[in-house]
Amino acid sequence: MAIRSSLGTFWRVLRANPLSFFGFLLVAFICLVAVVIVVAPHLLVPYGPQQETGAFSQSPSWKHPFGTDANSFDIYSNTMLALPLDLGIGVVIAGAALLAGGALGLIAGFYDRPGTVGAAASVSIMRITDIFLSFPSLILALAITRALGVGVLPTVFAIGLTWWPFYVRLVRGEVLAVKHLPYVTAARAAGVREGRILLRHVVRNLLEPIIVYFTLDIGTVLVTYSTIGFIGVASKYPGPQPEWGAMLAFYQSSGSINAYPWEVLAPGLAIFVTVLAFSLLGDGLRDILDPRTRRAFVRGTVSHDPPPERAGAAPGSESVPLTASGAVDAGAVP
Amino acid sequence: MTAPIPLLELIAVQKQFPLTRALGDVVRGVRRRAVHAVDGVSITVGDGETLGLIGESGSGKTTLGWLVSRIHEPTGGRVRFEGKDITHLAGEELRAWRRHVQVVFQDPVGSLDPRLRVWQIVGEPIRAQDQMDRRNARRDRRKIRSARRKAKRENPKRARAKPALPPLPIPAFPSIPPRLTAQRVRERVRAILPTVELPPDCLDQYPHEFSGGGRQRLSLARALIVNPRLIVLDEPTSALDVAVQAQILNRLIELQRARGVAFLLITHNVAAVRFAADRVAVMYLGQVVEYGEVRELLEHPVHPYTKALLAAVPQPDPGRRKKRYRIEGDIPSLIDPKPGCRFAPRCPFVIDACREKDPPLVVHPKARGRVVACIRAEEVADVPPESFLVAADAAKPPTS
Amino acid sequence: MTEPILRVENLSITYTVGAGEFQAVSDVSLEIYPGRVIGIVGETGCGKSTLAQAIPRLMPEPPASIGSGRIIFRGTDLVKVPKRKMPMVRGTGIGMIFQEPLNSLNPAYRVFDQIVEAIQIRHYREIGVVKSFQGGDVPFDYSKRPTTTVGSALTRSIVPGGAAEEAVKDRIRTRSDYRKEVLEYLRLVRINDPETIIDLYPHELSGGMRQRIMIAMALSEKPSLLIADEPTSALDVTIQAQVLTLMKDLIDEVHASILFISHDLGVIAETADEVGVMYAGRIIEYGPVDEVFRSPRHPYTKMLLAAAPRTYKSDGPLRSIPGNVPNLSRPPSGCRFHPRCPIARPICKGDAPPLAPVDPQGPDLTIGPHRSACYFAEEVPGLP
Repeated sequence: MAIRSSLGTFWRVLRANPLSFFGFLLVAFICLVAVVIVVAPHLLVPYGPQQETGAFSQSPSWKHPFGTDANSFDIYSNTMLALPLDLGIGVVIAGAALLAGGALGLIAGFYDRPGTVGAAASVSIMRITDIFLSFPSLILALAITRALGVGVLPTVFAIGLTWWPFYVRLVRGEVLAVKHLPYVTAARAAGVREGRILLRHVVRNLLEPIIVYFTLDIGTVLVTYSTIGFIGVASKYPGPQPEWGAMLAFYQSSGSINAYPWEVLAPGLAIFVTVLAFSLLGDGLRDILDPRTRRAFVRGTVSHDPPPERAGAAPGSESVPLTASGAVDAGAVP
Repeated sequence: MTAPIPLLELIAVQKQFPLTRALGDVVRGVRRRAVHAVDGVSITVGDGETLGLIGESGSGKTTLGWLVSRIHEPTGGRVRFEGKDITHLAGEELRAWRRHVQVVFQDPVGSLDPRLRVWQIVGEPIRAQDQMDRRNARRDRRKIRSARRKAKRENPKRARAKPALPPLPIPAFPSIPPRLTAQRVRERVRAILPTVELPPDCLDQYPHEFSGGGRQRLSLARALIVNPRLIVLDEPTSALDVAVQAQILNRLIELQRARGVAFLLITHNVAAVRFAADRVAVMYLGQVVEYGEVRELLEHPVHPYTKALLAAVPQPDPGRRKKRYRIEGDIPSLIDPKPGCRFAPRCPFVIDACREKDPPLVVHPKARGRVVACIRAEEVADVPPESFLVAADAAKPPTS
Repeated sequence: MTEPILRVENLSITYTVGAGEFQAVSDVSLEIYPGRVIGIVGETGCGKSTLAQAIPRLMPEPPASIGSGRIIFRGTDLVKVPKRKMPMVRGTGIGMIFQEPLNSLNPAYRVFDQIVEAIQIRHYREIGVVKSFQGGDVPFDYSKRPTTTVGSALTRSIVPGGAAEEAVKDRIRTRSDYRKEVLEYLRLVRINDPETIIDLYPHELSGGMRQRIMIAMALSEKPSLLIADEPTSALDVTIQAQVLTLMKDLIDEVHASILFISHDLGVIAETADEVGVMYAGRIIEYGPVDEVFRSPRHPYTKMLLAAAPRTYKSDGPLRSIPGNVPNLSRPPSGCRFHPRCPIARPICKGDAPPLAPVDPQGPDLTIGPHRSACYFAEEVPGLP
């Protein structure tokens, strides 16, 4: 019952927000396409990655929607075949960074009582994070890739290694903001154990900014990977597994951009659309995940009578609706 | 028979918050300074009574409430609860003790987790207690099991050597209480909501759907659900309108009569204390300056600060309109306060002796059961609070 | 009889939130005469803050919008003034004092910079660099009321005509000139040791001090109307008493009219000359503060006064008002208080009762008679 009603809310908020609804549809569509390409590529992709079509450097046509290149490879097919890899890279790197950095950030933010093991761990985590953050991440990733050798896996590993510190910072900051809120103190006064407070009150209230950041971050990872691919250390193109960054690099450097502009169009457009879709979805999620904004969207569509006490909750607050007024006395705690 | 043990007893309780030193101070070896939030407070709360704690910001009243509910640990003095010293209780023992003392926080918006539903918020203390009970039961079973094993191992030996010694009794094997299901929590919450005048069908709502008064009722329900002996009410009505405040105060008193729960009512609102408290302690800068029975104290205040405070409360009585308030100056800082009466810099009756050492809290001879921390208490006792107001034409604006 | 500085006529303000819509202020009329202090009292959500923000058009539009009515300030209808011209009115015409002195001061600037900004703007207007609000057809005559103590700066620009000539002379002002003037204002709000305070940042000041700085800022633009929205609600009782005393003194000194908004009946009783009691977006009782507080003629006012605790535990429960403040997106018909009112009759559900004089035969006082929006106002004194 609860699940169905929250799904219903999800839909209502999405519908109320046309742009994020569009983003949601786009992400769903992209994921679906990626799955189809992995499972049954022939449905969507007419040619193989290095299959010669016999048509050299043709401009877009019905047969070749994004044209062909000097090797007579179909650009549309290559772009589509790159989708699962690029999408997977985005999700895997951002996800791994989220899990690793998030866990470290939780520890670093929550345990800070001086003289405890937790505090010592927090300090070490933060200093190591600072060291990683003080390098330009792209250059660091490039250096690591160079050291490990060219290829998809080394690049993924290199980006992942430079990516987690951002999540440590983000999560720690959010934990610090949440953990001194009155309801955390209230839970402690009620006798709730620290571990449970961390999960139930702190993590739950972090989820919204973290998920939003994660969604937006998938796009950023994609762009970074493409950049490294563009420099030419990640994947080889043309090759058995195409990748957008490498495609861009290859067509751009083949010096024919003026004669055959459509060659760079397809991979460029693919990166653009994917990143945009995740950005729009991220913005929409921000509204969906917060019960306070959720209510603003569904008010008027929910049709059960409010109990008398909640009268004036939203309309009652005076100057600015939907923000609650604070307590009058600031109290004595410094 | 000795005097009955009070429910809660504070003896010269202190709380200091150390400040971080600037690098320059560390190098120069300057002593670490500290905020003396609570500085030697001794009060008692009896079973089923309400002690009002009045004070302005910086008086340490909220910190004192947090010391009583052991959110903070005192840095000095003793806290006794039902005669048992709880000053430095920690870990499981502290968590187990918490069911006796609950807190209603001053911020009805911030003290309820915005992502949880009503039944989860209000049911949180019973869930925590339940987890603790189960853990303790498991621990006890382990202990008893190992004790039995030991007894079995030792018994034959002991039987041969000295049959006269009876074996130590081993307590009955406790059963682990069944896990508290969500359904059960919901039932308990549904049962408690009517006592704070909330409809029992709001279990699945979020706190932001309630008005300020409704949220404060939720806080109250959360405190009541474990049947505590004492509830620390930290500014329970400060964020509420007069009409809602009246409803909540009436409710608090009814609950106290029905359940015998004691309240520590912490507020800056003199009117709320007047109506809800049995006894009052007036705090100024971390110390209690006056302490006594509510009606007596508010009608015949002795300490100059109490008088100044009462005179400052605006009354819905237009007759006072043309009066000017006489007390000047701000509330001073709590960082390493100088010795002497804390109110001396603002007190109109100050003499040099006031600034020399802290005035002791002594029983005032003229008022029954009253303690006052003022060395001139007997001389100023009869000055009415109204003398802290002067007529408009008599007041000359201080010009520099 | 002089013209009012501000006349609000049948003002209605609507908020649109998501799918819902609610009227925060409904059909409010108000007149403020020079040198008077008008108090508006009511509970959270009664629309008093919206009203305060609507007069200088400070409320966010949208979601708020003025549905109908006029706000006539010194002869000009502010509802019709284009938004971009409002800063002119706000500075020299209407000053504001807010509740949260810490949020209302910019933490990055010292006290001097906070206040000098306002003084500078006013100075530029005086010498004609920036256009100043002239009011409408009704020129406001300040000359009738004497100015006292505060010194030349205050007197000078208040008198139109003379202002411009004098100001042109000191067209170029140095920093030390400004500093002197800022110090003058700090002394005006009774700050001891202004020479030190002037160089401090807001976070280094106490709450009472910050509120004094806010008052100094508002006064330094020399407004003819000051709107104080809960100016002392965030302060401690003894500090509140000091600030109220200061405001009462300043009323006599600077001759601005004040619209004083508060939820605290006591604060209003001590400061205001006249009081309007608001409930659910409407003014339901209005009159001289003595009369309204001593013999309220609306059941709500009467019950609100009775709900403030003045008794002890042993004296029995407080008289609270049954029920809750209505949801303004679905207000009750007729008199909005009728669902909670002990003397409601069927007629109360029909048309909303007008704000009518309670004693039509009584003397028409200069500050307006005691008015109540209740069909049974004469029964109210008999209520328990």
